Amino acid sequence: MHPETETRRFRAMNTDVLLAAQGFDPARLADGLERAQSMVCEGEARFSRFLEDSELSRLNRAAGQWFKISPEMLAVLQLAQSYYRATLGLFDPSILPDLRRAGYDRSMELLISQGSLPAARVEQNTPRPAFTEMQIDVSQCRALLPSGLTLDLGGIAKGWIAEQAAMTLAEDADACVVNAGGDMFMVGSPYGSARWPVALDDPREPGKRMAMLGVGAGGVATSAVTKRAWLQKTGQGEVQRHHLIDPRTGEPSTGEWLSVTVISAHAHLCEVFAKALLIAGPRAVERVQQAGTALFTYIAVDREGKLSGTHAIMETSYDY
Amino acid sequence: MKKIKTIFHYWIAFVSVLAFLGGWVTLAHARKPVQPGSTAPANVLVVPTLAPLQPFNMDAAAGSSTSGSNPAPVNNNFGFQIVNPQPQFGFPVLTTNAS
Repeated sequence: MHPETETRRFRAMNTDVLLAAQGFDPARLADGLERAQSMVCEGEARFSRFLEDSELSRLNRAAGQWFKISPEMLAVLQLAQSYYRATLGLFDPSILPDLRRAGYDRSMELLISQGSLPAARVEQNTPRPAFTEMQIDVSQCRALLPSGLTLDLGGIAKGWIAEQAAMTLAEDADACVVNAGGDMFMVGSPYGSARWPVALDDPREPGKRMAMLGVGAGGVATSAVTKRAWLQKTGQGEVQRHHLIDPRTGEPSTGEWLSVTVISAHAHLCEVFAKALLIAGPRAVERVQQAGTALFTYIAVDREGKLSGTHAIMETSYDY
Repeated sequence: MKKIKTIFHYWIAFVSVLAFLGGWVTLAHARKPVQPGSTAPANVLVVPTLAPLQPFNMDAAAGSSTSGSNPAPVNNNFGFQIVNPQPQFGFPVLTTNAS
């Protein structure tokens, strides 16, 4: 007797979300999918910077004064602080003004649907407070952004939401996965297999597989300079832009790698370190790895399509 | 009565000496405490501390890596193998770039 497999696809967080669960009780699977989808939608409503009424937007507008935050926001902000240090500042949620300056001032869906080049909105690259100046009062569940500091929690929140939703779905399933635009979290293992097959996409030719990874339960995330990219009109003509801002320059990163995929115990960790390693590039990846205590494996794809990364990536397995 | 008292005194003295020697032997064979600055024995867990955050400089990072014997920290001959996808009983294929 084989278990039932139920899937659900929907659009949220400006990306395609896939929920898939396996178990012997279809009614429970349906309930689990429903609850997991609600969790994803609630997460989007809380962490999106494109929704005027989201908690993140309200927090950004309240810069300069203490702002009461939800336990979920508290958890993500604490993670962000921790990852900022662990990546030597290469993961920096305070690059939102740079992101807007690069043209990413509206949702990617809107950018794509407009079908035309977004007009450059050149803002002054003025000095602003560092992310380290953000204060969190855990006992009263509130945060203080200094005036001039605004946050974009898009990536880390997507990983965190995927993981939370998967853990919720797992209450009603023997094995399940939540895949939010490449940020995925797996619980258990699919029936008849110890590992989840994950296709490594070619960043030069989306849709084309470069390899099939066999990974255990846990998180997987990919950052690619070709993923959320657009053309921007500037004084020098049209310039290719993407969403991975190098905090050291305030400009889209210009590293040697096109994509980095990270496998670890947590989806948010994968998301953060995939971004940090992509920005660091092959010359500084070792320094980023040695700076923190986070355990992960990675695989990078360069412009010639050559793969490099951690040897142990094929043996990676995390039990839940 | 005096004889019993003397025997009792000798008994106390004997037991005291015996207890002292027993304690000496026990301490002599006990695990040594770790002194500050000494090399920790293998059974002591050394917890690494997080390095303080410094301005990230790509050139400095590159310089530090070239000081060693291997200028490229990444293994470019990565022994990667393609795994044949197995049937997953209804699970859709997961891809690293779904959006």
